[in-house]
Amino acid sequence: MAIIEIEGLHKSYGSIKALRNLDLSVAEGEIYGFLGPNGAGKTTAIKIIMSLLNPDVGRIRVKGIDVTEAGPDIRKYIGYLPERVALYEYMTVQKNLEFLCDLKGCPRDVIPHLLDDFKIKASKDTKVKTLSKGMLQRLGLAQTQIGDPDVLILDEPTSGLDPEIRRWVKKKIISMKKKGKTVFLSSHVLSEVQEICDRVGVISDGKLIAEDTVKNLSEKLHLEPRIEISVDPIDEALKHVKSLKYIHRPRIEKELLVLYCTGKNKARLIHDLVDQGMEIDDVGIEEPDLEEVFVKIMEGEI
Amino acid sequence: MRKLNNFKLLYSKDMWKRIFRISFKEFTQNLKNPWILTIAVIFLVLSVTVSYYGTAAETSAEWMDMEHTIRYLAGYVEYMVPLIALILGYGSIVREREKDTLELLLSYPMDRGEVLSGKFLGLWMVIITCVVAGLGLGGVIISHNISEVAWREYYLFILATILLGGVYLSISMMLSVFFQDSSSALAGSIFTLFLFSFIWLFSMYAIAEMTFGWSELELGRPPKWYFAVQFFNPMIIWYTLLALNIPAVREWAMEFAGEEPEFHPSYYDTWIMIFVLIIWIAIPLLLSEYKFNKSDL
Repeated sequence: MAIIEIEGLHKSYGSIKALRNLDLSVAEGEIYGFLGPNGAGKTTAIKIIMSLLNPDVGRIRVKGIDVTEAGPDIRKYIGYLPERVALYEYMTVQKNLEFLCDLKGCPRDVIPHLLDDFKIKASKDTKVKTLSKGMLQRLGLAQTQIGDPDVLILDEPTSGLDPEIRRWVKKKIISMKKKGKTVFLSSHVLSEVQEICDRVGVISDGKLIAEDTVKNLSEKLHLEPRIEISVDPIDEALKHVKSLKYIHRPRIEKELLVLYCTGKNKARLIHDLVDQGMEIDDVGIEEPDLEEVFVKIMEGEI
Repeated sequence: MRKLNNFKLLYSKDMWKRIFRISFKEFTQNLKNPWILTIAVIFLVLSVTVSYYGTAAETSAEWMDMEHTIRYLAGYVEYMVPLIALILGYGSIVREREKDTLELLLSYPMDRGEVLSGKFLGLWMVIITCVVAGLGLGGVIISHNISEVAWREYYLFILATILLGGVYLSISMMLSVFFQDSSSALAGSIFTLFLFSFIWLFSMYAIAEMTFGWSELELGRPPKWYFAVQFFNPMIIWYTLLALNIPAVREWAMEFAGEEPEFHPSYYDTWIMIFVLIIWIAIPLLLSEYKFNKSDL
């Protein structure tokens, strides 16, 4: 069942068309990666879902309720992390959470749990203006949990963070999914999106140009896994594979035979090499990554 | 459908809780501002010194009656109260927009009108605290040193000043919504102060000279429309409210502007002046809400 549905969304800033007939849907309980180059319209779409921007045309439904007609109450079901996390600088971590709890009509007894869960307990009496970027992001994520919303909209949640915090944020997002939350995530870090998202949608020039699982998109784009073989004699093996029609881009890299072929031809290749009397020590397979998928999509190959 | 929702919201307990929560935050945050305490102390010191030394130039220093104290105090209050209201209000929305806290605030389940109302109430409470603490305490001190205390006039002076603060706060919040950066909002606020305090008066003198003649104004006999036009300046409304109720202020107004009460139209009435000041609070707030609801973040 779709928990977020966007239909025919248009938004212009003067003569600039930020969104052009955007359609997408996010299923309940999934992590949906929203990808696109800078200026593609990701943040505009997110802000419209949050009613921070008014759409020119189009409908957005969250949990089946029309966002533009429902008024602010719909936001009880949504936890939002903006691209630039900004909380009240002159207030402490604790006071910020208390204020936000009050606005959402949520009891304050959830705060100790949030402080623990997001590892910000030690900074609870620290003013937000003195927090590091990592701690601020933890606090930003913590506030999304106020009121236990079903839908989480995270705009670039790992942007500008060091690798350790990025890993932590990633784990946290996965744990949110395990709790049954739906996560709508916009990101530039493709490897992370690939790792945690069930499906991705790629937006370019205000339009959704592809939407599926990374695996399905790879298949649609005919992306082949990269195969690295430690084989002896390597020159003979290279000569042989060059004659095979189902093998692409064969070469030798760092004493390994590197080539590309579809998944179903992998076993056939190994048989062929063994039949030719080659001695195979090791085989490594690297599936196509989201970056490759993204580049191909942006090049218009889908 | 939307209208029905808004109507229902008027009765929503949650809505009022959120408004009061925002106003409490604004109040506590701004009360910590050292300028607010300073201005409250200035009001206190001014009221006491004006009352005691106000007549020093004419006779020896002695305590003045309440009415004359109000007359002299009004000359300071007319600049100071609008100034603190404009300082408090000009950044209320635009600064939050610049710092991105507005985006987070509006991602919570609340209407934009609730944010505006909450901020207005909180900031107005700051002005009320400042005026009541400063002028109120001053009044208490003065009352212990004079025989006949005109409390009614003094209360009216405080009430009118609170309303004047509300008007300027409402205008500065409107500027904060309409402008996209805080420096423009500040410039707009300063212009507002100049507009109602100086530009208006000079413009009125110029219009008087060009139309019915300066001499008629000096004699306190301007045409009826001239009185009606004054409703477009909240500062004049405030002064008129004081002049209608406090003889010492009326005498001063007659000396300064040649206003003769017998030429005042019948609608120059205390309750109408109070009502007009309230309208002056409401209209900028309604315009702010309209613009705020239409604007993108």
